[in-house]
Amino acid sequence: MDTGLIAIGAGLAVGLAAIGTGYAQGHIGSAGVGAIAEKPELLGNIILLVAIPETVLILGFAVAAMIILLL
Amino acid sequence: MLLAMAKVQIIGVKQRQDKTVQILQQLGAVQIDPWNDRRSGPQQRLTLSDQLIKLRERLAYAATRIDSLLTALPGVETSPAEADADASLSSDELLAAVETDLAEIGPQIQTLVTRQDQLEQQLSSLARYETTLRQLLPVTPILVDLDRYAVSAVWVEQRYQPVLAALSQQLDDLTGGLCEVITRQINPDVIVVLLIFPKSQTQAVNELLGRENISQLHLPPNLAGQSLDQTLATIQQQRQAIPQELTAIKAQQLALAHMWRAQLLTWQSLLRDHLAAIEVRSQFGQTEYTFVIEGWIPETRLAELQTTLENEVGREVLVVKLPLSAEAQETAPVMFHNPRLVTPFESLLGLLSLPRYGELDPTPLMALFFPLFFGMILGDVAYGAVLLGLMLYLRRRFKDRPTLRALAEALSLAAGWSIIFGFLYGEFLGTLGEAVGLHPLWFDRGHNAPALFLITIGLGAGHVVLGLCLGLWAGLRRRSRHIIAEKSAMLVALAAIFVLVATLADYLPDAFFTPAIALLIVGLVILIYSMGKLGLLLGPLELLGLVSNVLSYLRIAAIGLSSVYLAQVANELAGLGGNLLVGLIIAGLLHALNLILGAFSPTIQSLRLHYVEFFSKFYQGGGQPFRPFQRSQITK
Repeated sequence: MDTGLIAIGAGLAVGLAAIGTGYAQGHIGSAGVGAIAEKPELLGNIILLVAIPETVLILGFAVAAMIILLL
Repeated sequence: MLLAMAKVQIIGVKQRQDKTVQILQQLGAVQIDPWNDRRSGPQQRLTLSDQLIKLRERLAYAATRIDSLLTALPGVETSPAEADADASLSSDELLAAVETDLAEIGPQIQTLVTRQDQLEQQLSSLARYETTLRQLLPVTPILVDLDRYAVSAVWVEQRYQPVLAALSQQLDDLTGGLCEVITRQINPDVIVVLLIFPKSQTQAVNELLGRENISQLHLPPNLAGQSLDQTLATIQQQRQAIPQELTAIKAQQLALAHMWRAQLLTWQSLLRDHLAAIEVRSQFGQTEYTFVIEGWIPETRLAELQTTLENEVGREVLVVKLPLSAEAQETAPVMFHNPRLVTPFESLLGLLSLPRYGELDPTPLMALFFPLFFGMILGDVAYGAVLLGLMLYLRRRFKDRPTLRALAEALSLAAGWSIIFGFLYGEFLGTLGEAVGLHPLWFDRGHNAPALFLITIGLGAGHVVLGLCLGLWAGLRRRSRHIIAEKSAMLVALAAIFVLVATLADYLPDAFFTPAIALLIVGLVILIYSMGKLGLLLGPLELLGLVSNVLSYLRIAAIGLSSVYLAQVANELAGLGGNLLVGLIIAGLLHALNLILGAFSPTIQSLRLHYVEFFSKFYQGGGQPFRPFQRSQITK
């Protein structure tokens, strides 16, 4: 039972963080593609901006890892 | 590293201007700055003479004609050696040579292009006629007496169908009942109406149709006047003959391209050079008797410039090195000078922003850490080997496209590190390392995730601390107190956090706890002070951001482990079914997917770690690339 709850907790930590990250990156990516269509030299900056929200996911992963390892 | 730049002023008598421009273009070592109109004094912006303006127009016109011919010809591989090119031609000699060639090749190409357009138009309209006429064929009565009757086909949109009854009545009245109206629905939106009427009434019928705004199907003259059967047969014959003629035209164009493309490219290049040599003068300054050029040159080539001008032009042109003020440094262009292994990463840095002049060039650091991070993430002997082979192939394939070639070279290095880490982790296609006799030389990351997390956080901490140290060094060079205070405070606070975490995790004795807290408070206070009025708000946020930056390196572990687990799934799925072939196909597809993800994801993540977590600690960017005034390269 405990193992199952721990697994659910870890899954929720990563999953919910992933939903938030995906939502943010979707908006940034679509705006970025529009910007690149007009100014291709913005590619590097757009890659940067799209990758920034992933920190949220990584922190979610860190929490999931702590849940699995420490609990 | 960045080459040292010198700001120079070249002053010469106006009679030597042409020769000086020619030498500068040949040398290709000087970037010419636009003349500053706000400057006061006797020097003013140089204006082009009428003679030069006319010459520029002639050159531009010739260049446009050459461009249009090159667009019309198919692309073929050429080499500069195939063409006749004399860079010492004067503009008039060049224009005369270009005109001679244009007179020879221009009409030929034009004729072929015109005929090709005509045939292509004809082909597409014949297809439309055939479709429509085939629809009409079953309903057309066999007319015996075509001499006295005319046939006209009109289109009517479905929504105007009620109009047809009125039209039919009007035609009856016009022709005295001597007309036949046959309708046929060829698609849900369009009805084709066939009108058969006496030839003597043709003009009256056309006027009626025109008044009612009804579109008629007009056949080309060579198809008109025949029966429907004959027209269709002629259309089919033409639809077979036209493609053959088009093929012949394309073959002729290809032959002309092989004969002329190299020469036309050479003329294009020379014309652009001559145009540039005129247009660059609008960036010069002048006095009554002299011209003045200001620009930048790498320090290492300054002596070469002075010697060349002295030998070719004599003492009537002087080169003066100007002092480099702080304001001038801000606008100085940058040029890389890195070892061969580091050069590919200059393009990756260019995706973000070039360094400012005087700033540290982070390219060598990127050349060290990017492949390392990539290797740590992918960390598989098989994937690394396949990626290395692919990148070496792409490097050869894209030898004429510098950015893609640079990316392929960078990823080749990264793939090499992936192979190294594959041996360290003992991974071959994920979990098949043991099966091929591979044992981890370091540790098996798939079964030792906590160790991997600690290693990646430690790596991140080291990388971030390096960034902060570089930021501190930059602050010391610039003698900026607030940057020195900010970076020092961050280093102190980060060190305090590490000690605190180590104490809480029992890696250090409890006695370290209080000093760590004290150090953290000291660091925070200095950070708040260094950030000015909003420091109280920004300081703690900045510190939290720093911790987040370090934790961000966990992505090296996370993405690496996801690659291992996906490979594990691929291997286990392959073994589930009874059939070896099916298993191999499934495993192959999943491993291919893993490899594609393994090529893109580590690249993006490694770049992101550099751009965000590392560069934000010391890198300003915003530099301008060095663009010397030089001859153009002949393009393929």
